[in-house]
Amino acid sequence: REQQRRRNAGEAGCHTDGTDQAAGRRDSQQGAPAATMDVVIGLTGKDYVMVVADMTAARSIFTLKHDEEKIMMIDDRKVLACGGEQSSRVNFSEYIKRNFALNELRTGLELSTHASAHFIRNELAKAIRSRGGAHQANSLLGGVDEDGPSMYHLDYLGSLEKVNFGAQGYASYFSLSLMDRHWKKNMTMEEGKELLKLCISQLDTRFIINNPNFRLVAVTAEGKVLDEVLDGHAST
Amino acid sequence: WPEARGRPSCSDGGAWGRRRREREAQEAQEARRPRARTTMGSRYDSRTTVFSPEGRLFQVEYALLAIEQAGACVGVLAKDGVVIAAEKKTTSKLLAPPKTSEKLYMIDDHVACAVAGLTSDANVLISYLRRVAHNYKLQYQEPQPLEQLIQRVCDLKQGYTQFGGQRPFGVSFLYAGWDRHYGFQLYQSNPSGNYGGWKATAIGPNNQAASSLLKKEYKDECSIEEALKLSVKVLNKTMDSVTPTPDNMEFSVLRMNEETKKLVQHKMSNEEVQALLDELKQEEEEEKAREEAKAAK
Repeated sequence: REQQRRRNAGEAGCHTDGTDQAAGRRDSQQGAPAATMDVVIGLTGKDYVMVVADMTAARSIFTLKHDEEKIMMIDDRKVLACGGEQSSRVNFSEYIKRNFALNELRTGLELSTHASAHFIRNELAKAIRSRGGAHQANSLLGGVDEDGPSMYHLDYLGSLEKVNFGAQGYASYFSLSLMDRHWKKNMTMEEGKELLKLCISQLDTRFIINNPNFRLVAVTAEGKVLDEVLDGHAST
Repeated sequence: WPEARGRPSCSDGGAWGRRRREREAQEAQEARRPRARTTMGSRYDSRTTVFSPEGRLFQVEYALLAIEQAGACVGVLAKDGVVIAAEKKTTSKLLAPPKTSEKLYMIDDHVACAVAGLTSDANVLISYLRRVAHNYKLQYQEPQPLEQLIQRVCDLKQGYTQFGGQRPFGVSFLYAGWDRHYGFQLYQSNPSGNYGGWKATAIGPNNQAASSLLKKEYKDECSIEEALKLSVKVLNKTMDSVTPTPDNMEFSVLRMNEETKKLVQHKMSNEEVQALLDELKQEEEEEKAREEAKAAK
């Protein structure tokens, strides 16, 4: 075991280590950075943020379920949509949610979206040089606070960018150019929904993975205002 | 146990047994020795971790007494800023003039504090405060809300009153700061680990007199200029020396710059302090003249 540890010590982080205690995070990856097949797309509007995510949970050639929750309300006014290996994704989102709840209890204050994004980034960055390795979760954080709506694009290694709209995984190849073309500042809730529906229909047309259901969540200063299931096959 | 296993080398109970016996012997000796009656509780004051029968922590109270030997500090909360003032005690003319202040410290861009008590203890706590504030900024990329910072340092101070057997820190602080949740705030903390938010307060010698004067003269929503005048007046009253000069007082003002919308911590120069003192003197003379005129009638 010691010999294997020494052998692996010099290698880059992506190699699997069969004797790794926390094998769950590294083993299944085989060098692939955070599964990219989850669809996570989001945008900011006039006074809201909106995210859409697919609801498919799959294992090898099977679809296990069509109602998997990939969007989590981590706060009254903040939403975290994650893509990645299911175990890591759920574990990570719940860890963030619990930390925010504890923070709110301790301080009596709600964190700003900017501060929360940096907190999450810090956790992701801490993990990459830790025993278990990086959290295999690519996320999109959206929130509304005193400074208005904002969205942050976080990847599993701890890169953080503030964005007007964003997407994770393969979905970005199909939706970013569409949003570049059609997104504009101060879009209304209806316009935002139409744009996300357009992205979904493009995925339906061209993406090899079949996603029958998508969940759409919108958050304003009052909290979550929209939470619906969209039909993945309703091509516009 | 060693006795049960019949090992002769540890038959007396080993290291733990030895320590227990030593402690018992010492306590028996202390009980036999005639103790001089002191003004405060004598038997319950040698350790920080015991209450007295009246429910007091004597070491904490003694720490508060130590602070009475230091220079006074006054803090006043204004509508658009905070003023903290400190008395500079010159213990010897031979001392080299300090390069940095001994009383007023900057913790972060949005927090400043004034110290009263043992300077060495204060340095440790200032270090800690700065570390906590900057660690928060590293993680959240925004300034730490003031009360959270103070809670952290007060939790540290409380630890020294409950366990470890080490004496408490002999320092009281005045914190002046700003955060986006509650705007400008003024806090005070002391060796017990208690803290409170204040509109105006004083620490150090004569703080009772200072507090009663502040209570009489403080006006809610006062401007920074009024707060400065009040703090000069109160600091003057609490200082020992007869003639106040810029050499024995210093002032720090925390305010928001209107144009740049940025927080500014401004330590007043000697000239500015002299101007304040002159203004105060003038007002006092005017007041005296008015009193005399009234008495003459």
